[in-house]
Amino acid sequence: MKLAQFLSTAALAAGLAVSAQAQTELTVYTAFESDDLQRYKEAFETANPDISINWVRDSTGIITAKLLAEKDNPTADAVWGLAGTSLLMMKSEGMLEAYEPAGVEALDTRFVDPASPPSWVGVDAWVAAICVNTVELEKSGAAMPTGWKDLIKPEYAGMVAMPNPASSGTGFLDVSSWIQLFGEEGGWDYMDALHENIAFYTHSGSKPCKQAARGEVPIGISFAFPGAKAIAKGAPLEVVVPVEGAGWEVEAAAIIAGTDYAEEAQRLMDWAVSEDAMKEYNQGYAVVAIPSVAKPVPNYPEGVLEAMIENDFEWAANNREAILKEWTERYDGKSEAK
Amino acid sequence: MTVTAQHDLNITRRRVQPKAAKDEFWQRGLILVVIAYLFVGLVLPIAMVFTKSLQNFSFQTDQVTVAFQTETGFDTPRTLQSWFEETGKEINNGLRPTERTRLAIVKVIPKPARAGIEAFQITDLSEKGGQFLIDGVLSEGGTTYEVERKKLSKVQVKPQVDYGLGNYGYYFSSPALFHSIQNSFLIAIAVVVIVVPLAFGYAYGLMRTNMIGKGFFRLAATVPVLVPSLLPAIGLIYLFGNQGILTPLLFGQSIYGPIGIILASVFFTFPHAMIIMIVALSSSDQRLYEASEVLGASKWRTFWVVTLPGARYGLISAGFVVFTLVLTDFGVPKVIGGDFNMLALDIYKQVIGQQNFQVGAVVSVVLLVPAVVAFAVDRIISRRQVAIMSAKAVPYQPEDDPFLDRAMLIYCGSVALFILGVIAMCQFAALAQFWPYNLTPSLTHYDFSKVGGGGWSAYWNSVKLAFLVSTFGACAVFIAANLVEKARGFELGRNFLQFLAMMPMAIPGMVLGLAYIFFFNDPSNPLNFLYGTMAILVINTSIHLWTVSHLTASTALKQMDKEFEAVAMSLKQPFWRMLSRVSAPVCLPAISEIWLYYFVNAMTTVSAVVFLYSPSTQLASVAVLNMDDAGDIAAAAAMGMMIFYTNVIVRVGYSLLTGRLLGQLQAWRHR
Amino acid sequence: MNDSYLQVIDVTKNFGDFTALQNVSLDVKKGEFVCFLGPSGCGKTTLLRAIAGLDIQSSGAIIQGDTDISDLPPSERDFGIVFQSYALFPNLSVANNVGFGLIGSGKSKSEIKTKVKGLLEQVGLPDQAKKYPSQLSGGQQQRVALARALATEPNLLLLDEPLSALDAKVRVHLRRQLKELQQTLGLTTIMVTHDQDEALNLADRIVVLSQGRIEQVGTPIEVYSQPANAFVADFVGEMNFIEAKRVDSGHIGIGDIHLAADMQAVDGAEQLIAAIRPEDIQVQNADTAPNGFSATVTDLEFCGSYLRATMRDARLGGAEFRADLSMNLARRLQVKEGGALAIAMPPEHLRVYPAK
Repeated sequence: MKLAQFLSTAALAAGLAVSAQAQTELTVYTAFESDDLQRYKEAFETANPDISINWVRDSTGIITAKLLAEKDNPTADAVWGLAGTSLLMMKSEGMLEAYEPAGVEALDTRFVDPASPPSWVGVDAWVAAICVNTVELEKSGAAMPTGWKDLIKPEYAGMVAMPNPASSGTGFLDVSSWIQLFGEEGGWDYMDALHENIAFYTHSGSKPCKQAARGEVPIGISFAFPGAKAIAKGAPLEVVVPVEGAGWEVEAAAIIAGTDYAEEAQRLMDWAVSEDAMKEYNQGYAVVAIPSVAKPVPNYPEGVLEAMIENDFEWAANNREAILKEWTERYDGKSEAK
Repeated sequence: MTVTAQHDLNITRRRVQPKAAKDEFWQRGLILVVIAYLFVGLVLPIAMVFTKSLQNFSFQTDQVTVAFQTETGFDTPRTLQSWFEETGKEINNGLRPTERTRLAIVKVIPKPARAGIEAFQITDLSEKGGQFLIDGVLSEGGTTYEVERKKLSKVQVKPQVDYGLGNYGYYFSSPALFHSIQNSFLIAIAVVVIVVPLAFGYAYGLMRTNMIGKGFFRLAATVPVLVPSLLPAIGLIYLFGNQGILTPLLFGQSIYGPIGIILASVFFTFPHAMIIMIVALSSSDQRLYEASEVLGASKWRTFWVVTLPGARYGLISAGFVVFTLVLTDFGVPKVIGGDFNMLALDIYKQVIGQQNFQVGAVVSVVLLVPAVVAFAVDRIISRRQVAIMSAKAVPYQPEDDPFLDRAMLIYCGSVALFILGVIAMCQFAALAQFWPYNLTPSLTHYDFSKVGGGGWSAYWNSVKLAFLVSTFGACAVFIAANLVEKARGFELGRNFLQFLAMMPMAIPGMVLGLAYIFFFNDPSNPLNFLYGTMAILVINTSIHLWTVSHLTASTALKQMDKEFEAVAMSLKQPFWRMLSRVSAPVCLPAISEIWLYYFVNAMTTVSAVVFLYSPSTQLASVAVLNMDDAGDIAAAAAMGMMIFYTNVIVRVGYSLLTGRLLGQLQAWRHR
Repeated sequence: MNDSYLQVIDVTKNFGDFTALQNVSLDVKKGEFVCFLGPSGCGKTTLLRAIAGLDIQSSGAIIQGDTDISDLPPSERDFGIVFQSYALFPNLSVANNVGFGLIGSGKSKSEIKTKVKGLLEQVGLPDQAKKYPSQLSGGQQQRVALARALATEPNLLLLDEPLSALDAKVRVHLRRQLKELQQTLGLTTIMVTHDQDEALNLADRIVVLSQGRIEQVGTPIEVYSQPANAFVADFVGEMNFIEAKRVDSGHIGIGDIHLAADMQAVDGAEQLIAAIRPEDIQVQNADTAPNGFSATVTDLEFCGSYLRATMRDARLGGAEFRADLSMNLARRLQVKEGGALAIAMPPEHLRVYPAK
């Protein structure tokens, strides 16, 4: 008797809770920087008061792994803020629902899946850059590097850190951009030479820049965003855009196939490519999908947009495994001998 | 003899099948429940690791055909295999396909061969289908798809699975991976060679001399247990890194690599070795020393003839424990290893970095072998250790020896200084505004919202996990040990439960974590709903730490009068009343010890949970890893220190409670 | 069928290859005090544990009252048990120990309290209710254990060497108390002991066990004075064993001396062993008594209330035997080392067993 009473009360309470929470909760997987998440969520929910975002955030590699692992049983409704190469992998697994967001025509075409309708749309981009600690560089007496080719000079021996492409998206972006810039053979020759100067390969993409900021290494091959952040904190750092051009990667949004909230996910996509959204991205990222919106970001190096190379994502995704195997055999196996 | 008596006699010739009491059905049920728990949480997942390690993927190029459109229709279909034969190209450039490798049809059929063809018919010849994907959609078996020229690039061939030893061949022929085995063994042996004598000396100072400050030194030596193994590595970077305050002491050698790994491993394995050494030295017999003195042996000779042989099993056991700990730890090489690869790190890299679960499984199996061997040796030795402890032994009373006491004080002081120095360095760095350029104290690094890893919610998750695991684990382990030790009959079930309870110690945390991914993340597993929840972390951690807790509980239960259960049965009391009114209260010290063990380890463990946490269940220890990974080393140090302080508080609270409250509850212990 | 309360029928217990009990059968009457006596490893404890259901027999039946309890678990049998270790629950007070079996019996708290109080009075510990076991002496603890076993009013009391851990004086005192209590309650009791004094003193009947078999069942006097075989004769009390040969159906020969003896148990064997207790050797009026002869005292041993004389004689061959003489008698007969003494081995006390 008592139990039945309790149960009915509980059911009532639960019912009330549901009706009070009339919004749809959208589970969105992301690799956006964690300090941006709350801002993006608030901006989106202001524009779409009936939808709330439940962020699931982790680093690019891990969130990709998670999505692929959940392939047959996805919990995400949408992805917003994940590397384009990751979305390419997911697309080839048939995990994405193609959708053409309203206003997609305003986007730089390099940012959008060429298929029609596109399976994913890029919203901003991170661009490879070189973080140089001016204090430590001065101590060593070496000159300020201006581009990739400078980094293989003997004066930088043991002074450079870069992300391991096998574990870091940024690392792979660097390696694939060097092969695209210098050609197959030239790219590997370059890396052979660079390997002589490398102090260590890191697992994450932003770590070399943060290490450079702390002076743990004088030079970190990374991307501009952590450098700009470190400068703001007072690090004696200079972010160099390589003269030869820089590899880059989009952060993109997509709908997970089979979601129960297709309509809400589409509205998320619409908002993600809107100008309002671009302004939000632009607070941290210099390069966004609608070039006209982009304003300069404090502490960001000049000329990032111009330095972006013609990046063939499809090629990079298809050759990823072969490149990584080659890289691992050349540099990882030898690492102990160093 | 009467007829009835004859009849009776016939009955008595039969074997008696004992009947179970009513409460014994519950007891047996409970044994089966615990067996099921350990089976699902341990055996099946580990079995999955073996299965996965045998999974090979290959392209069945003879199962896919392509036909070109002609004016009259389509020409004769050709298999992809025949195309490879014609072009002389290697399948997938001769690389080993993984589960996720895809082969683009446009790469198989050369451009000139298909110039001007407007449409293609692609057929999946296989029975079960799934040989290729068209724009992400799987092909069905025996079905032909028509694809126009523009869409041909969207057709990708998918590798098929079969079972064999291929992954092992691949692993052992890959020089980089094979190198890791060598590295792991060399490092583990080096750490054993350093730590075991170091810990022996320290324990010797504590047990065999009258130096001052023994209580302090005993506490200082156990500090490393309270922090994740990542923290000493971080501390060492601050001490000996390129901007470290003691870097010149390395004479130009880099801390990143073997030196750092060895130093940090020495730090975190030291207390484990020391505790074993203390036990080994405390079991020695005063009478042997008296005999040695009477025989006129010098102190030095007594040490070699009496002390060392008496502690030999302890030394061997400590060696194996340290060896396994170093071999299976991945936190230290991850943080400070630089490019120096080790086995446990390979699992992490293969799985998290490269999504290569099959090779991850192979490395896991490789890692299991030495771990199981070390475990087996340790078990055999610890049995012997018990055997040499005689009940009549007289505890050793050290004599005053001013020179030895002072020398040991300096020695133990240096070791304690190293341990506390590393911890203090972490705290100092965590408080510095911007190491090394701005050392103004600030709490900015404790504002975890600016860095990845989950921040304060990760910290609170860890505390929650620790509380859940310790409370659930202590209860479950004690009840299980009670069933093994005290239940009547059902030997088969009890022996099997005992076997399962001993197993987790032989399974490295990383392997267990990976096993859980394989097992629980399979959508066809009805337990799949657990994946990504706090519950799976509780289950995993409770099982990961089961063996030591089980041994603690068993030892306590074995010390109880073995006739208690017989008395309770004669008094018609069910086992649960015996458990709740007698066994549990009597074993309360052991239970609270298990509780503390679970709590501290749940706070610090990384290896198993690193594969299992979800964004809503991020953990402090994993946050330390991820923050360091992202280069936010100061925040990592800050979080590591939070774990340290939490464990210190819980431990101090534990001591007060066991000292006061337990003292009251356990009034019966005093005469 | 008969008046037996507990029947053990053809019980065998194997532990792996080892046979701990072999075809043991036994009847215990209602209200009887039975002791299982034997050296360690003889199976006495195994038999007790089989009766309790703690180690159930491999085959054979045990019937208590009208119930076949052979396969029942201990909790469904009717007995109270006391162990050598007392097995008191250390964390419970004396009162809670005694009342442990009454929890869940349907009795109210005050009923339990009264009952516990009564039991503690019965075992002579009325003031110790609030103490913990560790605060009591061994003898007190054993009495608490006894009170606890009696609390559930069992119809069978099993005692597993209950007095062995106590020192000699306490043991004798407690022995008496135990016997009184048992008689007052009229409680069927089985006690395992390796101490023959204890068994002879307490038991209505003694069951002598050896190597998993029953050697003899009988009253203390029967077992003592008419041991069924050499083992029992040796194990219970002091006994002279002398090698002998069969002479005819009524006589044995020890050396050149022929003695009359009851030869029924010998069953025609030629090589014999004659057994006689040292106190049964007659020295008063021995020259006229049957089986009388003279022997030389080779050694005298003072044993407090009596003297033990070791004797031999050329006519006996190498045989040597001892006789216990009261101090009084020895003085009167002027027994001394090296002196001759007329003795007799009365036929009713002389037992003959076949040699092995």
